[in-house]
Amino acid sequence: MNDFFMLIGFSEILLVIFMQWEVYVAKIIKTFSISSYAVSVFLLYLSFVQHSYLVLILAILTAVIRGFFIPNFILKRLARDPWRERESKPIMGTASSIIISLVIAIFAYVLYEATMLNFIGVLSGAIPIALVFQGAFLVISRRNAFIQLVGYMVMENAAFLFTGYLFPDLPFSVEAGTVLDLIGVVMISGIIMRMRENSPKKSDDIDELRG
Amino acid sequence: MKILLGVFRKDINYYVVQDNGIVLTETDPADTYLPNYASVKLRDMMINSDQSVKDGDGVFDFRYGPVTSGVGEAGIYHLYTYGERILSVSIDLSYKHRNIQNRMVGLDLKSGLKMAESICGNFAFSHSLAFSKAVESAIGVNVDSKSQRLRIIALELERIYNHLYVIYQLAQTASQKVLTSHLSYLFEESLRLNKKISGSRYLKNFNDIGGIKNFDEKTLQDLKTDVQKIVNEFKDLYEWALESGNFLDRLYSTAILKSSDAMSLGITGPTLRASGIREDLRYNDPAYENLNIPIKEEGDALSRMEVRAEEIFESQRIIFNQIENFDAEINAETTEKGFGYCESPSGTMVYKIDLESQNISDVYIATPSLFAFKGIANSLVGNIFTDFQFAVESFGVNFADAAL
Amino acid sequence: MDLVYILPMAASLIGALLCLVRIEKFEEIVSIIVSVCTSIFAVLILFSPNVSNYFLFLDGISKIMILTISIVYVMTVIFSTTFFKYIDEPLFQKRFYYLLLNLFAFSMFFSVSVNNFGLVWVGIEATTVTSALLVATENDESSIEATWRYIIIVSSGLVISFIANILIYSATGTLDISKLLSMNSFSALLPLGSMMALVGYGTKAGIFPMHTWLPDVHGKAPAPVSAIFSGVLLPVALYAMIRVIQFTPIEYVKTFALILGFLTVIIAASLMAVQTNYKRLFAYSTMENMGMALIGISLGGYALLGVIILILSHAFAKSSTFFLSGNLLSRYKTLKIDEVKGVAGRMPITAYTLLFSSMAITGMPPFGTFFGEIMIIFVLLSAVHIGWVLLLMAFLALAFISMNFKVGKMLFSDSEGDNMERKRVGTIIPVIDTILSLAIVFFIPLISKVIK
Repeated sequence: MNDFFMLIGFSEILLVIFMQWEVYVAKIIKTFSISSYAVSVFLLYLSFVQHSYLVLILAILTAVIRGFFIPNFILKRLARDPWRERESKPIMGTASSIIISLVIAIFAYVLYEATMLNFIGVLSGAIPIALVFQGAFLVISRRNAFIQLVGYMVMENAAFLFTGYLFPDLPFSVEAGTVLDLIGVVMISGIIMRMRENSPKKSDDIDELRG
Repeated sequence: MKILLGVFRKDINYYVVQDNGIVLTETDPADTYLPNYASVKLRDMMINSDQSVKDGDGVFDFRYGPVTSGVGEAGIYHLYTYGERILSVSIDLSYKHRNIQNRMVGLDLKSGLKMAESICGNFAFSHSLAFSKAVESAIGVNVDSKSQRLRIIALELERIYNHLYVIYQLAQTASQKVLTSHLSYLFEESLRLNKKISGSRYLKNFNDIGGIKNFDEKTLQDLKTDVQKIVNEFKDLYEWALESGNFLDRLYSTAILKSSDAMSLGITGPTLRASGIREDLRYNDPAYENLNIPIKEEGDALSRMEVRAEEIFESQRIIFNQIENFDAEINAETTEKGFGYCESPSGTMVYKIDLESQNISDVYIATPSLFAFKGIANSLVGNIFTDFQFAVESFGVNFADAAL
Repeated sequence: MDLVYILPMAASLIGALLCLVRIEKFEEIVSIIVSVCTSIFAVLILFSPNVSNYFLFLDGISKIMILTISIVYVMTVIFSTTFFKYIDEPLFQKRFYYLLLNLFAFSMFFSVSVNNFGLVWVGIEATTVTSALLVATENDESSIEATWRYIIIVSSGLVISFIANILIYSATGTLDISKLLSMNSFSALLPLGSMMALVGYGTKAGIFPMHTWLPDVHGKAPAPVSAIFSGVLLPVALYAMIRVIQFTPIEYVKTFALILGFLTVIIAASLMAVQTNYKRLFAYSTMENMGMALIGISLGGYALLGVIILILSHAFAKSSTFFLSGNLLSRYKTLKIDEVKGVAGRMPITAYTLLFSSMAITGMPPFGTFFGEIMIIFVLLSAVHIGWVLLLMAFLALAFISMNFKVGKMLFSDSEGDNMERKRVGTIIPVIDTILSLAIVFFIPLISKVIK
């Protein structure tokens, strides 16, 4: 059980690090889709171990919504050809992004050990925490809205993995509500990003958004 | 939306202008011509970027050409740089200058056509077509519909092999070995197809004044499958190419040419369409139906490649359409007297010819490459050294075509 | 009968659905009727007993939140009917604006009435979803950019509170608010979960350090949307923080909240001094008030009563100032403080209402905010060293001076040009709001009784 979680967790971290240095939005979204499927494989395994129908439903929901629907929805929303939609001016270079994300992973582990390990008692719980930080870093370090959205969803996925592994008996209504909200956020973001690409009235006062 | 392509002087200045798919002469200079008036009028063999930084700390002239690997023809690129970023560019065309316009004067029509075809091998058919159209309108010959359709087919074949060549060059520059090999095979296939249709790998000696003679219509049936084969293979290659980040990274945002700059420089053809302007001589020609010529917005090397790649698909549709309607009558496009033009693979090709008793008494030629070189010079400024080859190849230009 | 407790939610949801009907002006009428109904229901709920069942949990605080939301909701809907015409090229038709506004109100009612802390999170996240497009109504580049920042920052922040919820659940074994409030044993994971929850919900409430979306959104959203954001959306997030503090009987978590509140006041007050855009000025003033409220929440007891009074009174006064900022924008066509001149001469009602409401939001007596802040500061005096209190009051004074000086400059500079006052509803609504923020003072005993 724990071994399987470690396997999934580390592959998630590797996938996120891959996202950190990739610039093509389409590839990042596909990578996100793979990482969501990985989460759902884990939940599937969990549901067999625990004989829980609710977890099985969650696994299916994850695969359908996070793995399939949301990535495809975002890919459809790409305003330009997928090979053109990319991070044009990354705030950080590839090398420094990878180094920073490795540092973040270690930092998350230390943080987890110092704060939560004693109460949760499972060492591999540090993985989702590291993933949350990685997602946040993706949001901060990129300018492209789609990549920021993927960063947010990585955080969401990590939280979901955390719940699934450590507290699979969380009320189902909460989990379902989370999924609904995620869909809402993605849909609204899709609309906003379309508007961002072709807004009719051009900028007179972007500077107003400072200070 | 007028583009100044040439200025010639009889008793007053005549301005050759492209406007919404038509090329015409005007006598009244408009303000919009002024940016490139001087360069068009003088036809200087030295093309300079607008920004001129030739001295400064560590700035030197990197002289590339005239006989160097990487520069296909005899011409020199002077790149002023301090080692990485290109500060300004001068391109010397004079090695290829053959004084064609003066030499053509006094020739009879047959030799004139021969000379026009020989100006630039890559655009042999476009030159031939523009020349013969000019002569035909000067002497008032009507071209039969079948010849017109054959000319369209040959022009599109020329476009296909030229575009394949440009993309092949880009792939080679980016060291995409597999893609390069496949494209060079396709390029060779398209040349063989030319040979099969016209008897010449570069479509020479095919076109004649008054129409295309000695053509066996049976070859048309094979043509369809042959073109289909080449284009289908190219389609697969192109889709794979667009998956390759390494390739795209080299083209993306390389040598950006803005639409306003492109227009004021006199640039036409795929380069202009890659900057987001819908301008093509084929739109105004009644022989074409249901055109869907690609347009891209960004104006970088990637856009230029995309436009060229998608034009290959469009050329296939045009060829098919012409073959299907081969027997249907069409009206010829009417032009000014002595005026002939066509949409060559790289832009508008214009001939203005005056005749005197079946001999050429005066000729004025406007070719797309001349303006494209100016575009190269301007768009290169600010790019780094390794972008140079991508910028040059993406414009699809020839020194021979530019220098005349 | 428990049914009365879900009536505000039901009404706003039905209102939202009815907005889909394609009849001229129908959506406005429906929305007004629905919002007035919710206010009536809110008053009914106020005088009904507390309730705690499987789905709902309403005590005094929730009831007052519902009342606040419903009144600001009425004002916003009515003001929107006169304001929508000033938006050139809106993003969507009027029907969708009211549809989203009603859904937005629904999600806020939902957040403050449910009994499950996980569902509170769901509700607050839903407010983001329903309100994001409202911010982008003006459909120009900067408002879309502001909307995007809003979505991404707030959603990312709320992920933190989602993890916090999980930790709280693992520490206590439940997420029901009723059980959380009455529990007596928990594991040591609770303080960590609570602190993360404070940071996460603080994102939505405009609490330092995740407040950066707030001035952008308030600066670029249409006036009625800014009003409802400032007036009630941020307090709804504060409601979640109130609950967190209530069920975490640990001293250092409260100190953590106190520090966050303190920093928020300091940052907001300092930034108010340098603002040149009046809507952003009001936005930072909201932040300052939320910071004060968080200080009060962390102290508990009488300070909590102060917080409720502050939230109520601030909701009315701040929605009034944002409505008036809409009036100014519609007439002067600029957001720059320097370019708005002589309002007192040209728009007298707007000017004097703005004068009083800006006094109200900065805690001038005799407005409700003053009494709220006084109660908080009074309790604070017994909790921390007096030097800290003086520092806090210095920053409050800075906020007060910068707000009233800048507003005064807009109102009483030399005027040129004719009278261009807005008619009827455009001026009546802010006046009512300002009077309400004053009238709160007379209801302090009632509020105190409800909360008890």
